[in-house]
Amino acid sequence: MKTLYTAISILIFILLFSIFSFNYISKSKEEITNILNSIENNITKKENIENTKINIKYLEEQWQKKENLLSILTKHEILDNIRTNISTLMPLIENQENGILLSEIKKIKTYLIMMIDEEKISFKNLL
Amino acid sequence: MTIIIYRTIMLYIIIIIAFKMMGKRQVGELQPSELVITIMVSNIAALPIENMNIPLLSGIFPILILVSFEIIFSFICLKKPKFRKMITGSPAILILDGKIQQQNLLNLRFTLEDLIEELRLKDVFDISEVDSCIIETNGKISVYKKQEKDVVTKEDLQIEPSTKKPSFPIIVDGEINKINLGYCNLTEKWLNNIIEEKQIDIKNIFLLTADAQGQYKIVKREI
Repeated sequence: MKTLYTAISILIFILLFSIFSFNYISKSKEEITNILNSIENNITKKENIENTKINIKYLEEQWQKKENLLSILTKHEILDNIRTNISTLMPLIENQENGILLSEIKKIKTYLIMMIDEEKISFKNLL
Repeated sequence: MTIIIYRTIMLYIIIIIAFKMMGKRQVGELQPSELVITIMVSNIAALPIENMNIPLLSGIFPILILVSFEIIFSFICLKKPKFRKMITGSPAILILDGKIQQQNLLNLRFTLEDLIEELRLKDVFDISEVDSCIIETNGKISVYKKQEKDVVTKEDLQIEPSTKKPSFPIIVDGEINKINLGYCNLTEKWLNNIIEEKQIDIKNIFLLTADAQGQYKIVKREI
């Protein structure tokens, strides 16, 4: 009976953890996307370059904070790609390569969508 | 993570059905669900080791899910006979009253060669010696020989059976097994007396076995 309760507890724990995991990934995706949107706005509205740099710095910090936990929850490949792309943003803004910078932001957003898509309960993921 | 849970459960059920369909021949010594767990766990465990891109939790969680499922399934099997029959199947008769049940052999896709081979493994070399033969849910066969071909027992010969009990290892590699000492109704005092009598250090005893009558054998450590 003790083993049975342990087994049920493990299943409940895993189920709760999966809910937490999905929420964390989706919250992280939202937060990072918001920062990316503000960087995108800065560039399109041709705002002060220093503000954009501050936003990129903030993005790097936020990603560093989230990446550790995310690496436990989702595939490392996507996270590595996002990290690589984020690391290119600062040199691009310093060199005023706004066009490439916007396309890099687009790439990061796509990876973020892929990250959350892999966790969604869908026909594609289940089969 | 959620996807992993669903995928694990789906594959668990699908593989159980697959093994059920393959029949008892494929099962070996394990129940179908146990075999599924054994195969799946070993494969899943290898995934995060081989592929560093997969988080370790993606390997740990499916294993925990499978083991938990197995425990819950076995508990339900214990309480619900119908469910047990569905998961583990039921024993099938291959020979009844000395007659081979051909339809059952066909249903189980069990050839006559398989049956003869299994009987040989049970030390039966002539099929005509068999009264009944049953294939159990784990794929092993049980054989009941015809009375005239069965082994003669002491009871048949009206010989008084000896009261000798099996012996248990009491000291293994210099370590006393107190549980076995209890099985033999022997005490540590008895053991100490023997050690004193033989003038041997307990650490130099490689093996000491004893039975309930207090008869013992000592194997000294040589290396």
